[in-house]
Amino acid sequence: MIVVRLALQSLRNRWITALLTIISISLSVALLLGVEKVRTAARDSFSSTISGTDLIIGARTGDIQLLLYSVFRLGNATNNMSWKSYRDIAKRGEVKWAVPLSLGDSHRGFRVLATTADYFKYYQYRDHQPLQFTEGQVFGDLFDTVIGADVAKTLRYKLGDKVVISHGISAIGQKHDARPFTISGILKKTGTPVDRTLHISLKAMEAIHVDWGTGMKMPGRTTPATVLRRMPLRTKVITAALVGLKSRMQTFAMQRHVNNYRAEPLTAVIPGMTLYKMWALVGTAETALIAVSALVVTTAILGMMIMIFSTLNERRREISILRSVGAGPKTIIGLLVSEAVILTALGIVVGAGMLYALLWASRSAIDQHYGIYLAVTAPSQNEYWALGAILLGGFVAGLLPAWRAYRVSLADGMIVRT
Amino acid sequence: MIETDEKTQDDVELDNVLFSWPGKHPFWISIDSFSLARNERLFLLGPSGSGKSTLLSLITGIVQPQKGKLNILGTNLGSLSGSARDRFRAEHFGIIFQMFNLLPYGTAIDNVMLPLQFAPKRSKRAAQNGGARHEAHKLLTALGIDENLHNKPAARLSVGQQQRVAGARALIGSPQIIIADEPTSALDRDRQRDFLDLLFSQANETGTSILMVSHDDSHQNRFDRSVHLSELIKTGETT
Repeated sequence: MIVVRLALQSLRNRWITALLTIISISLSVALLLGVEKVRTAARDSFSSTISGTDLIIGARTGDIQLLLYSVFRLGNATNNMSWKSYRDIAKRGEVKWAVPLSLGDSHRGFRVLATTADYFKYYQYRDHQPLQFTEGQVFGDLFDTVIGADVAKTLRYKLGDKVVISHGISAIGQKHDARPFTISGILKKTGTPVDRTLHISLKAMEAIHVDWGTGMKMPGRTTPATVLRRMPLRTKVITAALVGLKSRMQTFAMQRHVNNYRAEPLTAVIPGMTLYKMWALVGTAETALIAVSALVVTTAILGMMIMIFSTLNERRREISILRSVGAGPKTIIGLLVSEAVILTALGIVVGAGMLYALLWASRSAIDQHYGIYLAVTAPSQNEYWALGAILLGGFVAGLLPAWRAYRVSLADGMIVRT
Repeated sequence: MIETDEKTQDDVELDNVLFSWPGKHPFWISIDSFSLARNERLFLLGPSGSGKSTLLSLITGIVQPQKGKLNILGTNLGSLSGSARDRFRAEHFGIIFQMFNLLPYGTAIDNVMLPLQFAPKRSKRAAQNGGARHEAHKLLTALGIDENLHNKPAARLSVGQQQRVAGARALIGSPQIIIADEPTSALDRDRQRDFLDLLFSQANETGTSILMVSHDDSHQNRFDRSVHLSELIKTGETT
């Protein structure tokens, strides 16, 4: 159809402003979609990190803090809980299983988690999925370690490789270089912090600290490994414990019991509820982010409206020519509105394309650094609604200049009066 | 169609028409009586500001009078709805302006074919002999536009060529009336004569009436009749 062709040619004639408009809309669309994607991906990866654990127990601290340092390896424990309390609780009749966790050391930026072989049996992520090994098995020897998928991938480790653990979590900490560990197993990728963790046994954790005083290596003393293997290594403190109960009905009673534990101030949290609390906390920030991106989109659409308005004057002739050959208000308004809709639609397509390209290119880096797995999936229903709303916004933004153009063309009559 | 009473009916009849523009500098025009006969070539002489563009806007139905009757080809324009008037204009009028007649980025051929989009009957007539596009090419060639310019954007043509493209656009599909508002004032004298020659000969073939307005009386003797706008239109500022 000639009118459509002429509309496109008119747009091509003003390609610089049209292009800039498309770019500004597409950037705003990419921002909005990006915020939404990261938000849902962050929620997803947080909620799928732990599953099947009824309670997490640690020294008295904030609920969220306990969850963050025990499961997400974010931040540090301010206090430890005693082994005695752990045993005492683990022995209770309601408890089906309990796994102690001890954190504090690291290897080249990856956290080291000391635990028992039960961890690989009971820890579950995303809808009750257990941990699986791609290669090897649980630590057999005292100085064996099981590493997560990302550790293996990033540091290019394979079974049998030796690794040295550093004291503390900073990369410049003193090294337990007298006691290298051998990789006995590599875990399958889970998309959780487990991927970025090296697992050793609680005994090994004690063993590497044998010649240490409080936070410092004692100079000149190195107990040989053979001696260590024969030593009665006893764990005195742990960071936290994961607990599974025989019946979920007992969760609250058990939580109350732990929180009122006499011998030592402890905290027990229910992972799901604590996550929920955390979302409530983070929710405000999320809403703010979305509001800001929505404003950016609005600004971009307003920019397009300004662009169309500013071309109206130079297009008065174009419009009066169309009127003179018999184009009615429908055609004139349709012309300007469809221009707005075309620009918005192109902005949406380009913006979504940009975002997906960016996601695709950066997802492994984001996964590595922030532990957020960004799935490159089709837009969710929410996102479709948002895109639909943007398109509608573009349509409405086109109506105003279109209406004005028609009014002006009426006032102009047949000849543009300037 | 409208040609019910071929002998007596005029193409255009205005009767006691009054129109006033709204806006910052409002003014009104009134026309007691005006007519354009079938196949007539009428020359209206008058400077700008004499109400000529308002008169043309009224005749073509772009604006509507507050008072009076407008009969075009036997149809009372006042009885038509807005979109019916737009359609009516597309079907029955070919319009040529002083300049800036064409959509600059459209090709010459697209510009010529543009009115057919809005006028199904005219479009059908244009398509009778080998298709509308063929007809458009034929008209452009007849008006002296080189074949290789037909698919060039209008902005690349000279002013004289643009006016001839506008002429082809006014003629395509043989509308009953051609309205020409200073169509030659952007051309030099030789080109003016050429343009009118071409326009007249094409209009002759299709039996089209021509109403031309100009402030320049040099071509008025080529028309059947010549009227000075001041004899026709009374204007005044609205108070």
